[in-house]
Amino acid sequence: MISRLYYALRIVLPGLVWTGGLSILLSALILYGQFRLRDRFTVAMASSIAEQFFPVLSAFMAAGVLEHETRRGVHEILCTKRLSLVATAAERLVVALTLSLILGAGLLAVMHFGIRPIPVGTLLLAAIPPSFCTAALSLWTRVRFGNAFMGYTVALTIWMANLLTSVMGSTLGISVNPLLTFSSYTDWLQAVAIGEEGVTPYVDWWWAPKIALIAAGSGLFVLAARRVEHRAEGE
Amino acid sequence: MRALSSLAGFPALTCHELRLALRGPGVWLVGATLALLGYLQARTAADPSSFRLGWILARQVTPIALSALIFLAGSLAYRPWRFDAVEMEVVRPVAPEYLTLARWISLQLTLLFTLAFAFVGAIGGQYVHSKLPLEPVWYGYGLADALPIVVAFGSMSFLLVSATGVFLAGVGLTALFWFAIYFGGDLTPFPLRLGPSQNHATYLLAAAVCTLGALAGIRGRSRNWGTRLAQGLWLLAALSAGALLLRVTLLDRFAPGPNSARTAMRRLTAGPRSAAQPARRDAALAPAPTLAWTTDLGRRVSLAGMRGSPLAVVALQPLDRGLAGTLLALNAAAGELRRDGVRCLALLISEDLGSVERVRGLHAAGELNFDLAPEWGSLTDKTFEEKRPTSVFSSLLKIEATPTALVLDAEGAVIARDLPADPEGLREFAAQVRAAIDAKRESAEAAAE
Repeated sequence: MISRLYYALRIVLPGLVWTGGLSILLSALILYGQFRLRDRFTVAMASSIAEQFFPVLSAFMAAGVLEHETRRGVHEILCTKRLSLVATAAERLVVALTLSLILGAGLLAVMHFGIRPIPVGTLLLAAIPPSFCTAALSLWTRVRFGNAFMGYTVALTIWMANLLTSVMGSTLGISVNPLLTFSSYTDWLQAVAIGEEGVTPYVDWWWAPKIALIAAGSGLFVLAARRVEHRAEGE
Repeated sequence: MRALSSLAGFPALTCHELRLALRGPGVWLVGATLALLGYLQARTAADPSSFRLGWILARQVTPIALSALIFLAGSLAYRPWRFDAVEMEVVRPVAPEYLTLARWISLQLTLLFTLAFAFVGAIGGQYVHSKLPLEPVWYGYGLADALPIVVAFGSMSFLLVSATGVFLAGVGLTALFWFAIYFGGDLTPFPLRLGPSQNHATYLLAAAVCTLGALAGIRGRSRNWGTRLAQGLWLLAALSAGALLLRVTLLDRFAPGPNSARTAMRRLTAGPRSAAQPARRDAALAPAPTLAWTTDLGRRVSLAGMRGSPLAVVALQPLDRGLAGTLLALNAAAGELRRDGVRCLALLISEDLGSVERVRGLHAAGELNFDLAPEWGSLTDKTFEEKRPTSVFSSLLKIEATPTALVLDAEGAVIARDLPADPEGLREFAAQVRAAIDAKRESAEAAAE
């Protein structure tokens, strides 16, 4: 299994030169901001970064994982795979997700040691479901529309909508989208900070959106994998 | 000859490029999401008036929507590379500058079309769910206010994708710039912040620099840098860049903003105690701080200059509920007070200095009986911080919520504060101001005796 993932990494990595570089720049910008405003840094802020920004990194990295095989004119490569196409897509997705989470873990570790101690592991776990969901969405739109840019654009649009509804929710005191929100753990941390835990079910049940996001991500991955298979059969 | 034939075919070329841009699914997917967000704004707003929704869409939704619009712009700019058609630009019967300009115009129209979905969604939401009258003009103003930043970031994405020929490089660098400005908060220089309308000219200049750079660079792709047109375009781009830098510097140093707030606060707190007047909510201030503003009619007014007769100061914010009703009621009360020799000043507390013109437009019924002036900054419940400057007036006078009013006597001392200034409260405003002035006169007479 490790060797297969390593093989997938070797295929995926050359296509991630720009994505990786930009993701590192983005992380550096986030760190710069947090270090400059360290007096306002809280665990909820770190959680917000983990739940809102790691999904963007994952979406960027996942959009191009089948780029070589799905580019125009080389669809036949898909037909020559010895493994099942579902397994190929899954391996690539796992590699992309792992790379983005490694980068995210590094970001959290620097904040942990450089600014203030934070529960790095918990925050990383909280970030996995939204990251998986956006990565699967990005991959599906890329395969569905045959265009990597659509993968980035749609994932960014969903992220933007989530961010905006979170902002609206905090202004209104309600959650516009409580089930598929990316930031349920952050909302819970903020409720705890102001002593309002146990008041609102959708804030206390922060784990429910995580399960919903895993389910939605799995559904999107199945759609993407089926689409890849159809394309191979079509060739 | 080629230039003339290009000019003749330019509108058709632009329409063709626009058709190609609208054919992609990205425009419709992003547009549908924005329409849903616009609808949600109207559905969940406590005060779903057209003015308020247009304001929120322009200053709160559009800066976030830029994240998706930048990618959309990059995707449209990348089309020739995606279809391996870059070299075909050289052999087309139109000059490459015309082709680039047509693609830039079609890109901007596409972005505007996509953003308009948010406004259409909000209009639909207001029409269905709000009892307040639908006034499309405020949505039009909102779209106009949103335009400069959309044009600027669209142009930047277009330039960087065209210059690098790498989609991710161009779009990623633009998105990083957006990220730094949008999420930078207090670290972002004020002349670059996305919301305030005083920064619109800055962003239009940035758009000009990017567009001229893209037009000038098109010759470089075919290794033909030496034409007069290319040299002229480079010169114009350089001049625009110089004007942009000058404007940012001037805005940062001289326009009302964080720097002027810090300077005003230092001036007021460094002088004798009577000039600074650290506010105590429970005590009268004698006299109020010597602050000055420029009204919507361009007249300079100051608290020091207005001494000699009593003054009622009303603090407002652009997103206050029922602002149109407040202005109407305030105008009636100010007219009544004017006959008693009491002047009235309304301060609009906002980081957007252009808010005065917009709010002034809410009062369609002729002249105002009071002075309306912008006070830069936001409200705070904390003391003034040098790192994060807020409105000096509200910091010194401890104004924590709007609308509210306070009364100053002829010597400039605060004799009443926290008077209700909502449309209902303003019905009794003139009587309350008179009562405060009478109470002050009586207490002064009693003290003299």
